[in-house]
Amino acid sequence: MQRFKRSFSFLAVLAFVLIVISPLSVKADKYGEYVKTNGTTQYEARVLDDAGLFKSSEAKAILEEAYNITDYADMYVVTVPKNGNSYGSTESATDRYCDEVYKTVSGANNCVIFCIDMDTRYLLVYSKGQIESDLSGSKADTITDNVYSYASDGDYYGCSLKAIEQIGKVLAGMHIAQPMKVASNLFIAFVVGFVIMYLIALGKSKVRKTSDSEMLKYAAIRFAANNPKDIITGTTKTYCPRSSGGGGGRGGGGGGGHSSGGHRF
Amino acid sequence: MYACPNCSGNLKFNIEKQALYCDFCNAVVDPYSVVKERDAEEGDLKIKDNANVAALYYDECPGCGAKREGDETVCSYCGTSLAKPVEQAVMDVGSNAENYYDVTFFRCPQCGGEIITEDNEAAAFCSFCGASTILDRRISKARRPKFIVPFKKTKKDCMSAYNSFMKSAFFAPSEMKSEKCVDSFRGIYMPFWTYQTHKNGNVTVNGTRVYHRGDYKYTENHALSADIDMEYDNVSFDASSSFADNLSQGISPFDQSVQQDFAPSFLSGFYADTSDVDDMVYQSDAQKLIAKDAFDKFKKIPGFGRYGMTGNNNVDKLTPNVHNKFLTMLPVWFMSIRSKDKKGNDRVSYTVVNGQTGKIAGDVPIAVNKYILASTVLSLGLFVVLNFLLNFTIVPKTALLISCIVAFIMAGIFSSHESKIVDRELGDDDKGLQQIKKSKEGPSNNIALKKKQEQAVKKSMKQKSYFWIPLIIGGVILGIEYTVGLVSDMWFYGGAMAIMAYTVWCIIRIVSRYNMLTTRKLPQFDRKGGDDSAKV
Repeated sequence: MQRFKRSFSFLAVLAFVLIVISPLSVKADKYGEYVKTNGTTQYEARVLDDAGLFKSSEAKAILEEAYNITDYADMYVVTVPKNGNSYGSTESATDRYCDEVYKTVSGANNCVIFCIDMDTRYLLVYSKGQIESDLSGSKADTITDNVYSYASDGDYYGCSLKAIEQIGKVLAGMHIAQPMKVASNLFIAFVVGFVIMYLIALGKSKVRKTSDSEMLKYAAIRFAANNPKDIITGTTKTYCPRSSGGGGGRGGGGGGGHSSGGHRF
Repeated sequence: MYACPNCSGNLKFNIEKQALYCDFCNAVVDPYSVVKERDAEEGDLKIKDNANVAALYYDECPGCGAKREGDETVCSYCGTSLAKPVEQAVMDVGSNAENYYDVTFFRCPQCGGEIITEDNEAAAFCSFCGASTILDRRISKARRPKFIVPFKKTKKDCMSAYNSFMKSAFFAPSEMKSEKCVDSFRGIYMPFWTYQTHKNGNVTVNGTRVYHRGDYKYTENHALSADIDMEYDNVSFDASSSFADNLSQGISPFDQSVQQDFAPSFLSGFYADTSDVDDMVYQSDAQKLIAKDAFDKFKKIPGFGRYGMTGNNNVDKLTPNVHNKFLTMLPVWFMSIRSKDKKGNDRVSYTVVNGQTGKIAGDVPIAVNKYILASTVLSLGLFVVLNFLLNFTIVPKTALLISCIVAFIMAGIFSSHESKIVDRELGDDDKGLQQIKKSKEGPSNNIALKKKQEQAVKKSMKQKSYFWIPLIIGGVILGIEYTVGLVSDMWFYGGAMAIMAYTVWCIIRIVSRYNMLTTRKLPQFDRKGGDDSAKV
């Protein structure tokens, strides 16, 4: 009986775990297919190719490239098959998928995931931990912007290698090409510059209207009010319940956030 | 000219001495004690003959009671002026000239603007349209102001106020800072309608108080009343169609507690504009201004402060009655600068300085080349900050969306500017000019048709904003992205850049069109001599 109870408890826990991780369509048996752990830092490189985008040799090559990142963090390359993302078909679904991969598979204090989501047609660079300051959302956007054309052409292998290479450069504090940043900053700078200068020019040029009180500054004014009376003419009463509780501020951290940036392909 | 009693030199009003002053013998003369040399031949007040001159002076000194002897204008015992106030002198003379006085007008043959002065040098330059031309001279009658506030600020003070004003006007055209331009300020007495108002009686205003008790909201309505006894005097609005409302209000107010009875001799050495705007034109403005102020005071009556009192109805209850209105000459330093627009049409811009307080207001055009240069330098600076100091990037789709939003805002500003420009060009932003225009056009039988025609004219005058350019660019790219599928980043960047170019073009158009608001069409006054086609 005791043994039966223990087995039941084990099955219940297992069922619970399966329910919790059910949105994640990454198959557990593939988690370990391409894994390499850095003996010094204990960070691991993994290729989780559920979408089957890579040949075996390509996956191994990607794993080798990803291994270079393990000096700083776990480095995962994840692919999601079509209809394989149960979080939906929006770009945020890819983000949630990666978050789930991090929680269920990695859990390391520093982790980078490069995800090719065939369901949402979205590339994502996800970072978690202290490396977020180096691999910020802005940097992730830049990397995916630099590599999305490979994915658009169906070269997922090249796309992954290039992305991992740029992630490595960013984490090593090296420079990567940022044409999007230059273009967008130039764009913003010119529009903002011309608008600000327009407002300044307008402010310096406009005839200032004299306020009403200033118009009467020198007027000879005599104002006397005698016998003030206050008569109540009516009262209306409306039911207006006060809200209970109130906002109470924002909720707790819940495990902290992460940085990510991506691009459609 | 006003002759010096000592040397017959030309007396001019001296700002520092606040009296007439002879440059030749340094005599200081009371403005009320002199009469025009020319009066006999030109009929000014018709008081040059001995009998009438005698009527201008008291027989006994109002200061010490000593008898006036001979042609004395100042008491030889106590130095008090023996001149009667002008109003009294005019009455004593028995003339019917209480409401008018004879003056020398100079009329610009190009714009029809008229100015009063004793200075023959005025014949070479028009203050209103800036034309260097020979002005037509004539003697005529002008409506006599009741009071005058003499100039307190000298031309030097005015120039110094202008120089400090221009220091902060970075984008002003260089010619506005030239010495020649600064030197062209003229002291002009501008006619203002001064309103004296009062209100007596009980005023009841509606007030409300809202409070919560438990789960209920209570709204109490109150009738707040008081016996009001109020007087607002010396509230003034310009009475000349040649003085733009925004400029006259820009340099207001004037301290009229120091105003003096008007005497034509105060004008000596200065210019004066004539009043051509009816006293009713600004009366409602004056009443509204006063009602608003009185309402603020009403709200501060002890015990009334806790009630909410809003709405025009409440304010209107404090509208005062106008019991007196009169013309007052107020001192203004006036400068006009001519320029040409892109089509080669002459434009004029004005800068005015309050001759009593030194407050300045002016049309300051924006030099487009200076604006573009400054904007480019600022943009490059911002680019350096964004690109090298801040870790900031926006994705192409966001760039396109932002550019569309900014473009629409600028297109909206452009359209709003256009409406203001059309109002300015048609004189619809100036109540005085509106009145002149209406009286020129005469009454209309079909008001609806007239309004429709006016709208059509306004529409034809407005320049288009081409707001559909960003709409089409942004709409097509985003439409393809969301319907067909992936659009290359290059399309987003290209679209954003094209919309950005539109935005910058739109801003530059706004700035150059803005100059239509800081310069004005040459004035065409409803006075004989105006010529629309005239050019200098």
